[in-house]
Amino acid sequence: MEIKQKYDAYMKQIQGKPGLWEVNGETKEHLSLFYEEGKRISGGTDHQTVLYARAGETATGYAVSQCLSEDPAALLHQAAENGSVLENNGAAKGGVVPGNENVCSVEERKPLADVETLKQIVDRAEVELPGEKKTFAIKNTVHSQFVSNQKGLSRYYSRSHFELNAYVDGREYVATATAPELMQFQNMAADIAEMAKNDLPEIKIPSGNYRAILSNYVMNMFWITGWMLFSGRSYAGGAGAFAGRFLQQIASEKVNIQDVPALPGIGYEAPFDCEGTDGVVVDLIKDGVFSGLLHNLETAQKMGMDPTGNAGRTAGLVVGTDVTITPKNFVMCPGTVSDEEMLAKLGDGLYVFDAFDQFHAVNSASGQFSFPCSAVLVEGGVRKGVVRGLTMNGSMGDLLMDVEAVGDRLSYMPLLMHYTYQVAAPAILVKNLNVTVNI
Amino acid sequence: MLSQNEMQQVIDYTASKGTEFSELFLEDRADQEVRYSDGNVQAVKNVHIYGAGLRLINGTEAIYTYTNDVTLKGLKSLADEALSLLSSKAATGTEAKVLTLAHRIADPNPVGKEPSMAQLKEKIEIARRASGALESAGVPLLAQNVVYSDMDQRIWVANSEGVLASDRRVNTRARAYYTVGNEKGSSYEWADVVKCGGLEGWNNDELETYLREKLRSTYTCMNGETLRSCRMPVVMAAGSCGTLWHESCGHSLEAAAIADGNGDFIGLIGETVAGPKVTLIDDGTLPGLYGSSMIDDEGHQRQRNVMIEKGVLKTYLCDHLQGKKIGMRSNGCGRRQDYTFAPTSRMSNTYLAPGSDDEDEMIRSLAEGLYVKRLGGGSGGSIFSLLCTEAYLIKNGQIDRPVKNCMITGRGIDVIKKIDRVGSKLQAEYGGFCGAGSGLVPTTSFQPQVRISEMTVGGEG
Repeated sequence: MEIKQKYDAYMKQIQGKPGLWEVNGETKEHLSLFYEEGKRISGGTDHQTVLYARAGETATGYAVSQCLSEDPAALLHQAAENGSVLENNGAAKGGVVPGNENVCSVEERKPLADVETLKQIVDRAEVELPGEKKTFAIKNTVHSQFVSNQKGLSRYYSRSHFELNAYVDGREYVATATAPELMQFQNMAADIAEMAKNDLPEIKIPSGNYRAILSNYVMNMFWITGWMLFSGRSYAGGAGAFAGRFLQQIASEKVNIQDVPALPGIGYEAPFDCEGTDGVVVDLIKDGVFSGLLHNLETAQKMGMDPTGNAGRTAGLVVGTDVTITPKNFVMCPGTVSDEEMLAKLGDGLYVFDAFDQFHAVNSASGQFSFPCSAVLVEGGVRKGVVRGLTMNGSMGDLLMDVEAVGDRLSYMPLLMHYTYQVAAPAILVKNLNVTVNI
Repeated sequence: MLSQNEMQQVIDYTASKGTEFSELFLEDRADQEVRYSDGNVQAVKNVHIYGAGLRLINGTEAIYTYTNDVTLKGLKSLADEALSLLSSKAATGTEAKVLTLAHRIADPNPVGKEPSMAQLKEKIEIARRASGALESAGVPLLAQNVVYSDMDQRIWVANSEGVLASDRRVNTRARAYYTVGNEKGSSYEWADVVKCGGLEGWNNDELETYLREKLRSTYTCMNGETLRSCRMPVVMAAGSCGTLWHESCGHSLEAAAIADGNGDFIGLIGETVAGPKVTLIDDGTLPGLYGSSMIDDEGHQRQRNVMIEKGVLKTYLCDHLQGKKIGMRSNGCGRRQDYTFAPTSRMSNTYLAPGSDDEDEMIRSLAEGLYVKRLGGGSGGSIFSLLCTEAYLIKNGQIDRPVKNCMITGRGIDVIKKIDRVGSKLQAEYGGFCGAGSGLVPTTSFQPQVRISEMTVGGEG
């Protein structure tokens, strides 16, 4: 809050200055603990504030600093100087990015949880989750953000988020919550139970096309980068697998996908994005029709659409310094088919339960994917054996059009390494999936 | 930044509270970036990374904390938080050794023309040249943008064993993102040219030559045929195909993997793990390479580590903590992305030593096979996978038609046993980022041309 006050005071001094002079300050505080067989074996705590400045009278430049003693005027003028380079090098069409005006909101800063609170979550997980040898990583993140500019924007929020990573029988599972008492393990327990059913003898299958179920986990692996297909920035530039197909049928009518600013009790919550725009629910695919895009102020203005509060700095592995597009809670909506019903509907085919290399597997321009994976061969709705060393190939467009059924249970996957967004997906049944086999 | 006396106070404080080992890592880093496309500068950014990490170790329990309040008061407060998390502390305090500045080590990447001293227009010119190279490559280009970036990182490491060391790492990079395409489809790729040490390395046409060649090969293979899954001999070109070693066995030879009980190389030091032509080295001292520096991020001098020698496993790559867990000393491989990460064992410049086999014979002697010229991303572990971004079928001893979207996968310890040819011409590469437990660190992975007698390759089934 002290840093915000310093920048608010400076913004008051330059109120009315032409162009945009804005600072977004993001503070992340963590307490994380690691438990093995009930004993705490390591942990950490950290505090980091990053100041993102964008400024300029006729063209916007950027500067970022983690040095808390940095003078506001120096930081903003560095940004403005970078912006002036644009004018002198022919990019005047870039101009000044739009900024929000005359919006004020301030919340209380949330405190970090203490060790005992986190330990209680782990103790509950130890009891409620199946499996013999379990290790846990529990983390509380307090994410606070302020945005302040010379146009009267001054907003601050602070949110607390809990994440439990459970390592059970050599595999990692994740549960998230916005408060300790809201941390539920039913989904995680269901995922563990499903995975245990895949402990079968290894068999071989030929490469080819199969009917297939893609598990919740596998669908999340697609969407952790696949959400970029709905970026307003890519679409406005004419790139992306669905370019030019807005308001057209791009998926089976069973497919619905949204981006939501909050998943009650579970997901990331950000009342506003890094430009100070309120987050809204965006229907990206509705009954199979391409219905929405994720926008920041600039891309919304370019396309004549409303901003959606999806300005962010992290896309996949890249943490940028300028404003791009990020989702908040990207959700492939659940359907009505249970895990058992889906297996029966599959009949003969593959149940793909694992996938790897999610940051390279989906090409965000073409929508093509080539995903190393593991699966179970299913015959007559019964699991027969596990197949490893597969690669599934195809395009996101074809995959979504081929959806025959959508599961009724969501699993969640936060973007590991960065506290930024979360994806959630059910299992899906597709009528055709091409796989190649290591032989 | 803290003075030596202030660093000593922080280390002494943690030692006095019962910590066996404590380490302070300080970082002050300045980056600049120029984004260029459509004939214009689109953005210029400055990034100032500034902070401190404090690590406390008792036995094998480790606590890591960080902050960007880099004052004596801020770090003592951080130390109190870290100490509260340490389960096991000595009953009485221990005494830290007096910090002694390490003797000066030869810098493998000395700084010539500092980025901070160069005019912005010089950096813009590099980006403009890269953009121009893409435009003039003679293939249908749907979209492109170029990012020039430079990094000037200063670090200081101080620990309770009396180590006080510092390093400065400077590099510059031109990264081109591009989408090529025609009526049949499109493909998105990126290409990097990296120079270590300063802006002096950009005064030739290496940038343009490399980018044009990369763009053309992307387009050629975009229109290639799809290879159905099969097993065949694979010849992998010299240079960046060395990513094979990084993903097939490199991560499994890091002490972190061994300590975690992961991978196929546990307990095999002294045993044959690869073909007799395989000598695999990781060397953080090589001049001019992206993975090189004077010290690692724990203050140890970098060194040359022969991991596998003529097929026999000789050592793992060790940092302080993971090495301790497996009973080995650090061999200069403790690395981290920045102060927000605890260090762990990581690769640096990983390469296969050259052999004596004839490169042409490797292909000439094959009735059929796959020639891989470039690799894209991949994932490692016991089972690895790599995307071939430029590959061609070999037919009757000749390089034949291109293939597209071809993955090669396998179990690392099996594949490296099938190396039956190793060429004599070692070729380095620009390098990239490896992502693992301690974040993104710069690495290179390279080799001479090699042949694998048989492995699984495939696009569509």
